[in-house]
Amino acid sequence: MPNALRGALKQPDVRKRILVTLAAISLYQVGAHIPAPFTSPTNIEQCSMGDTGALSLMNLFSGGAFGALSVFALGVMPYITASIVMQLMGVVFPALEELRTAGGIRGAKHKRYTWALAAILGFMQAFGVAGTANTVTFAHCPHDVIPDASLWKIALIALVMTVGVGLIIALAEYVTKYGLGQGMSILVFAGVVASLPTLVASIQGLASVGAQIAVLVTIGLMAVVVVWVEGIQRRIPLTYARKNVRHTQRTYLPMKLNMANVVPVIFATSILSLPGAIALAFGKDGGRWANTSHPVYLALLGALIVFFAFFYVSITFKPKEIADNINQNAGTIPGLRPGIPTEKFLEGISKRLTLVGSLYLVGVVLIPIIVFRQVGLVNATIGGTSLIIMVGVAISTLKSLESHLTRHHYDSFLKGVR
Amino acid sequence: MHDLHPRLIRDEMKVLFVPSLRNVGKTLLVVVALIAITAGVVTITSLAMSALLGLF
Repeated sequence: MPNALRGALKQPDVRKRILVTLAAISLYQVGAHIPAPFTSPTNIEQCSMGDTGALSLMNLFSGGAFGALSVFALGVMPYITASIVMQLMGVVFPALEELRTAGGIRGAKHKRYTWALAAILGFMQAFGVAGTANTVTFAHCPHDVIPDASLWKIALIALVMTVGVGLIIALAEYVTKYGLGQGMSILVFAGVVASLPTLVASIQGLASVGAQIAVLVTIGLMAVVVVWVEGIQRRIPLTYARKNVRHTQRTYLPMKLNMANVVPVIFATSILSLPGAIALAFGKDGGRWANTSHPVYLALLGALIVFFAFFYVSITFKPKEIADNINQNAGTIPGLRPGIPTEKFLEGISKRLTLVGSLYLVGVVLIPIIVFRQVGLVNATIGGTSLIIMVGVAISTLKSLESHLTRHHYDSFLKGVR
Repeated sequence: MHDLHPRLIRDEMKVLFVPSLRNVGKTLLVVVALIAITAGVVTITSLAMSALLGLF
């Protein structure tokens, strides 16, 4: 790896890409520290944010910017929500799905629609965040975090935060084009890493050494499990007939065990946090709806993760399209006829993988929650969700770096890791 | 539901490609290295911003 790193740094193009990525992470942090207008950083510093599901999820994705009410408070969440909504709308409106898969100018149009939706959602979210900051999110603070909050002040804060969302999207697009890996994932990764010091402080604050060891062992074990499972694949053999070549070409179609990635967890957590958020917005006790250690909450979370895993895979994995694609390229799965048999075969595999993959997600998400609550660790910023994000983004970024290096014939970072 | 028969799931699990422990270790090391680099950048920026904001 050191040789590969030296090789990467010697190569101007790769060096530039690494620097662009690091600069983007740094800029993202700069935005996360600039307070939104009319907010009182001193008052915010005096108290930490209340622990409610969706709000802590937003805080995780924004790298703590949400808890600080900064200009980047919304982080990447509006964009992620907009992307998911556009993907779901593609199921209802086939024209939209066609636009998404078209590429070129038409694909760019779909991208612009997603940005516009992210801006609208961002403004609505920001308005809600600013409007309820004094009464809900920071209600337990001794002083108002937005002193003398009036409607126009809140609207202006919402506008600034929406501009922040636009800047984050622009930053992510720049990284995708000129940096390493997928820009939005890199920024999410940076956000999760930025929340690590809070976790360290929380662990240090635990009463006993035994509890601290239990938390560290859980995180370590979960990290190993996540890296291991994320590498598990079902490799479906494919045979392609080639003209003018004596032998047929053999390859395989890789299907990950966890086909839905972290999306079902985000969906499930967001849905479950809705009752609590609504209760809070109406001034009721939201805590009883967002008690993340309650067995009913955990059971519901598990069931929703499994449900959303099947839901998401059914939207994103299209066995018919893959079967047609294999057939059009003169390929076959050995022992299967092209067309419907291939489609049914792929559909069956995707269902079985999704079931096992979703159970893995349930385990990775629930075990840390249960252990952390048992040892009295509240407000834990790192759980199963963040571990899956970190491992997934790290591996895809390294693969991107590897592909740039391969072009220049340098050693592979992931030599032997497949 | 036929696709989710326990026997079929068991058979499916037997043919999965599973990374070796050595490869898991290597990947974990690479992930930790990336986290460390990112954490370094984040910490330096945070400290610089805190110092800058402290001036105002």
